[in-house]
Amino acid sequence: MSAGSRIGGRRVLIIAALASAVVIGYLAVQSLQTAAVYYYTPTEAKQHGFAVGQAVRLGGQVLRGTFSYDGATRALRFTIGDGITTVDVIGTGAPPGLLSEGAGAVVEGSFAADGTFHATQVIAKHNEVYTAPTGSAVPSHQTPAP
Amino acid sequence: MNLLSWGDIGAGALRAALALALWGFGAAAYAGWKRDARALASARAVAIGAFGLVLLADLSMVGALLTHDFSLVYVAENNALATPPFYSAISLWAALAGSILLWTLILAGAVVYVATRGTRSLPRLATVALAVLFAMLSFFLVLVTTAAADPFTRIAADAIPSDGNGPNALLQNHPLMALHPPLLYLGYVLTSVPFAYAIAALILGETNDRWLTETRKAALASWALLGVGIVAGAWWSYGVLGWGGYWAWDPVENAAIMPWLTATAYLHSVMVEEKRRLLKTWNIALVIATFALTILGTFLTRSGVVNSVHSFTQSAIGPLLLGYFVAILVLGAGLLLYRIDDLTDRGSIGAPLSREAIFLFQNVLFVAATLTVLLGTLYPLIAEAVSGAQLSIGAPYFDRVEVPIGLALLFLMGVGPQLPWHGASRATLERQFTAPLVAAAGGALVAVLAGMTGVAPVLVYALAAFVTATVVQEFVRGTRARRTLHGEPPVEAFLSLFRRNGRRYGGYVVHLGIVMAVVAIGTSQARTTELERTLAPGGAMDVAGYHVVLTDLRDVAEPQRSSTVADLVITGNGASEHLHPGLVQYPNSQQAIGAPGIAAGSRDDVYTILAAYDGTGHAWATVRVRVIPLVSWLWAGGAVVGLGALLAALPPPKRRTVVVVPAAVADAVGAE
Repeated sequence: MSAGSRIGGRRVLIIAALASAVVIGYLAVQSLQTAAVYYYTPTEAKQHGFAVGQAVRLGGQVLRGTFSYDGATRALRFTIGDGITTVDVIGTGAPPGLLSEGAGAVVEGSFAADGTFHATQVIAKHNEVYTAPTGSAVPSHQTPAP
Repeated sequence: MNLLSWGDIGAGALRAALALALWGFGAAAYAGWKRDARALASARAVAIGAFGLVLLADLSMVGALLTHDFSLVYVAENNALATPPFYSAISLWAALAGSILLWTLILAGAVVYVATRGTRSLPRLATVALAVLFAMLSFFLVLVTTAAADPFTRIAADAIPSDGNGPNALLQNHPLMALHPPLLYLGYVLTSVPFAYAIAALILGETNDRWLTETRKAALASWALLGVGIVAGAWWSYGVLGWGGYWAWDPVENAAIMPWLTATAYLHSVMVEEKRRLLKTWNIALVIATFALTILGTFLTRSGVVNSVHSFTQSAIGPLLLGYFVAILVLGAGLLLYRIDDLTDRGSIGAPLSREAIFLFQNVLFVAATLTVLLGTLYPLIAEAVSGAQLSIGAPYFDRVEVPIGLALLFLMGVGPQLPWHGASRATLERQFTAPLVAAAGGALVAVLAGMTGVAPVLVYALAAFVTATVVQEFVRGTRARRTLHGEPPVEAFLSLFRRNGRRYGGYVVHLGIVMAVVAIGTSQARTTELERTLAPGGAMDVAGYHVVLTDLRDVAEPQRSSTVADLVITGNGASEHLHPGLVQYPNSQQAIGAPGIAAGSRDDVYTILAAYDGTGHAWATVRVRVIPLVSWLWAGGAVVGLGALLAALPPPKRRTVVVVPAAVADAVGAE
């Protein structure tokens, strides 16, 4: 090691560490607020009674045996459920690669007059990569409006 | 029927192993307390016996899977007559109970390692550590012998199915499944060795750094295995899930990355303790945190709690793992507080431009990364528990928070090793950083010329060039110094760097591997092109200079599965490849699994997916093509990281003669 003037002091180090902790903390809280995707379960949505065409997000499990995608018409259909209520979802375009039967999904869109849900966006909510999904639990309480 | 079934052997072996582990705990604790040599000998023998019994249980399970013994629930649920032998054998870790069984085997191996090797070099400390490990082994043996995760649960004799359900479709679709979980489990379990030694050091009040040098290799091995296991998992996800990505910030992945992050912090801060006798408390805290995070991750992903706080009680293993996690935290934190006076550092970190200061700063960032990943993983649970709100935290949160932290860490990776301990002078700074800064400017220029847009990708290239230049500079200077000093020819001088100081130069190789991985991630995230088209046979599409022709759409039947395959011919950019992406149907899964066709290259991968097809007449197929640049550098980077870790684990050479190093040469070799 060469001798010579050493730069700085201990205070610089503490300030730098604290400053980065504050910046990261702020960034984390800020991003949590913007990145959080709130949703209703089908049961909650039914109890709430959304108007036709009103924008809403639904979260649930893609039920087995309900998934279909027609490449020619790009029509996507599946049913999501929370163990009590099920909702038929209709969308357009190929599904996200991680969307699969039994896995969680959040769909964004609105209810049509016939009770089907017309999704403008489908988000796969991949919980576990490789353990067989068990039936999702049903929350016993209401979700406040986002 | 045979006299003894696989289930009888396995269940019996596990119960006997539990008895031995409890005996071992008592014997090792007594030996540590009374310094009793006979008790220690007994604990050693018991360790080997317990390992043998757990091995027998694991082999019984593999035997049951290979012979399709459907009288066991685990086999009936995870195996079928048509499952090929290879996938039958690796179904040992296809589901929860088998995974815990494998985990228990590895833990029993760690117990043998400490009992035989450890107790010879540091008898008292290792004996207490052995007692801690026996306690952990007992806990896992309780899991596998009770309803929590009993792999040998029987099916009533009149209800035994003639065929089983078969393994999860995703697990029998890719051979990497043979590698990825065992590597991760090895990494997870080996973190318990430094933890046990740290707890032993706290119990005995031997808070000097002997426990830490003794567990250096275990810490390095667990870190490397976790890292390589994570990359193998990313590769598996890329090869089998058919979405063209490799990382989704999902809870299983987060559970693996968190202990890796704290372990990385520890590998660096440990050097500060060795060289400067600082950060004692911090290092013990990191070791406890790393081990606790492996258990927390297992709890989060295995209890079902991630889906919803309400599904937590659905499995018996959830509360047990949570209790274990809390016990570890209480024990670790309690002992740490109890010994806090012995752990006070004598000196302090002074100059901000010293190696120890950068390592400390780097540690702060690694811990911040861990905490923010933990926050994002737990936030949906916290929100649901507190307000009942249902929400999901996706990749945007993690990208926004972790990418800046990662870039800052990449910068520090170039700075830290270039600074001397205690502090740097202006002259040192100029000598160490002139070339790397020029390289960084060059890297930024390359990124801009290559058409990269956005701050993050350009920074990735600049910082990658910066770090690479510091590493090359170290190798060049080190080699030159050895040539001057010993007159060795260049290649020999270069290789002897690893022989003489494997830890340091192996560490640089690890840094190069990380740079490769970061460049791969940055480029593939920023520059992937995707196109989806519905084609009739004979139809074609053009993506990023590649011409893709759908030549045929055909059905393939195999005993254990049936698939529909699209035959694609890829030309352009000097390539000529035949790819066969398909949709695979397993009898136990309603939905077909995508099997992508991948043409991997050093410049880019052509990743093709059969998204959908005409099931009636094979008149059309929806084909998705992604051209993903540099992604194979990620897997290569993982391998280089593993190689670097191996080099770092090389035993230091025996000192023959003391060489008086001239000051100028010492300066050139670096500021050690």
